Amino acid sequence: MALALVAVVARLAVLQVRDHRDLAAAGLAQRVRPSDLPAERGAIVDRTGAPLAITLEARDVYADPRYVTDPVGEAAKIARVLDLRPREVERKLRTADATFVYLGRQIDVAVAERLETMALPGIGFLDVPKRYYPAGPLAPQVLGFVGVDATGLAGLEFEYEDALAGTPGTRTVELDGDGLPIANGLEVVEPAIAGRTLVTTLDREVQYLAQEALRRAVRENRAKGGTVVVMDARSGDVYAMASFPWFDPNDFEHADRNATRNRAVTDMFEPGSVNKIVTAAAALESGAVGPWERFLVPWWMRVGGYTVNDSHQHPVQTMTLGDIVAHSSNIGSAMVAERVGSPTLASVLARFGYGSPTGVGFPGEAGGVVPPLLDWTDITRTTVAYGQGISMTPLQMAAVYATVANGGTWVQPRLVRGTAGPAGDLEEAPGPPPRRILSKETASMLTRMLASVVETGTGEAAQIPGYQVAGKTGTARKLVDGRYVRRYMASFAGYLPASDPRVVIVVSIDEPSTMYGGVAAAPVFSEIARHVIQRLAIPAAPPVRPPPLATEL
Amino acid sequence: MSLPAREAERWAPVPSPSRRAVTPARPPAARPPVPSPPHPHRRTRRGHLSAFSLLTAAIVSALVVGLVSLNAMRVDAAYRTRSVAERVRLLADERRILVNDVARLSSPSRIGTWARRTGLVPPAPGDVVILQIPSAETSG
Repeated sequence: MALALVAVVARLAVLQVRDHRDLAAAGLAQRVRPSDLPAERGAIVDRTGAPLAITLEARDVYADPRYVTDPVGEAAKIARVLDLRPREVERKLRTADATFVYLGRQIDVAVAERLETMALPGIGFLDVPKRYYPAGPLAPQVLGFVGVDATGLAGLEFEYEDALAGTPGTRTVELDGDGLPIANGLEVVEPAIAGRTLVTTLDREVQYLAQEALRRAVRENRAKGGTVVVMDARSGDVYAMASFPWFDPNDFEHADRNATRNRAVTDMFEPGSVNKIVTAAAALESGAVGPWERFLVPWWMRVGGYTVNDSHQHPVQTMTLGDIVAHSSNIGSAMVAERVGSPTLASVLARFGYGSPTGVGFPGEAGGVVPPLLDWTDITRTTVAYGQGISMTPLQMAAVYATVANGGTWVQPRLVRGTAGPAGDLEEAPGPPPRRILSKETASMLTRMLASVVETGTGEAAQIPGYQVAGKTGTARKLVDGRYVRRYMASFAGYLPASDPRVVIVVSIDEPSTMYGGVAAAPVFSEIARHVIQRLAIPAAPPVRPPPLATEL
Repeated sequence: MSLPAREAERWAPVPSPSRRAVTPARPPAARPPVPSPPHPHRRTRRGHLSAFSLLTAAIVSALVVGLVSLNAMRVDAAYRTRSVAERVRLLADERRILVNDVARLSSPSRIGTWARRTGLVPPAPGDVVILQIPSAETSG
């Protein structure tokens, strides 16, 4: 008896003295359950505050096959509600040795509640967040999308993951034997910090109008695709960035991978004649060619063993720089570039940002390709003069035209104004200061030349009654597997009003059957510009004078 | 302090029996127990003790009742807090759903689809007349 008593006392001593810490901790661990408090993902809004992406509550539907009593009957009911195949659901419900099988992920709450009311044995529900894009396929490549784990996978969702995701919190609660919280028990909450709202520069009305115009143009020209960039000439704010084909980010799992690329930022193309404005800028800025200087321009010429020619046969013509730009003469541009020289031309290209990403803040932005100056030959200089042999993105092209529109000052294109907290306090995204690329006089002369392109040259289809447009057409051969093929990238880049530019628009149509930028892309520019004038209430401005033309000298 | 006379008499010692009056063979009667005289202060202390006990019991009872009440109020408040927090969460969810609905219903693509279905078309280029107003800030 005494021995038993001693044993009990000894055991008590072991439990209460030696092991009490571990046992107390084990007991606490049994009662106390820490759980994550997910942070609400920040919304993405357009420049007016209209939501473009928002996070709502949804449900994951799962089954514990051990408790499913009637797999066939339950599968039929579940399949009907979740729009699944009954056989597939039944197979999951019959999964052997499994205690958890997903039947549906991120199901809308209303749908899940219909299933919940059926109270099917072995079927459970988990609260999960789901990203919604209320405007559907509006700027989907720009916004990107979010995976089932609520992490950004593409576009701005990916680029601004840290700001959007927020910081998760934790909640530690003491539970009773049934797993219910003890009202008077321990409860420690470290609240989650919601993600910040991403305020973009996009305007959903302009974006929609640009997408619609682009869709129509691609269909009418039986093209492969196309891109549009609409940008504020002064601030660099991108109002619209459209790439066709596109997809619905609410259903990105079924999207064609080709359609998920933001071509305006990630795809490079040889600009063609839209690049002649840079050749003209280099000529004027360096003083190598004056605006009144005249050239005798044939329709073809030999350079370094290669033959280059204009798009149309013509007799030898007298042309000024204004004529060369207005009529998009390849030979004229090549002659101007010869006067300018390769180093100066390469230097001006670099100042405009060719070969470097613009820093717009988008994942995978391409910087374009410019051959190193050491590799330049006569034919390199010649082709670069009319926009072949180099490549760039449509956004880079928009930045080039915005520089001319701004009187020679380069502004950083931007897609994001900043992030806003719950109180709406906007934290502006930092950006580099504007930098002067060209003199005001050069920019002004270039604007006069670009206006004459639309008034009398290749870009007449871009005209808008009541407004003077400055712009340039481009038709570039595509390089496929190292060889130029008879497939074209048709483009038009321009701005308006010419004398007081407010908005820059770049349109590129990929492989249109109509081939030319003046036919395939310029009308799209005009259509978008007319909408933008109304949307942004852009007032008309007095026209600029025409540039010196050979016919008037 | 001295006892009163009557009290002293009552507690006076009992006289022992006389030898002459001895009766044979009778065992002596058991002597009644002699209560010891009370301590002069004892009765007062008992009264004080009773009062103290009562007071302590009252205070302890009040504390217990107060503590239990406070605890009950705390539990009640905890339940109400949870209930309110849950309601806030539901309302926040509802608000987000409504924001989403407004954004979806006001999206340009939905309005565009609706407009096309009802036969509305964009104006032809020539149908929009831009009025040139010198030194004015409006156009359209």
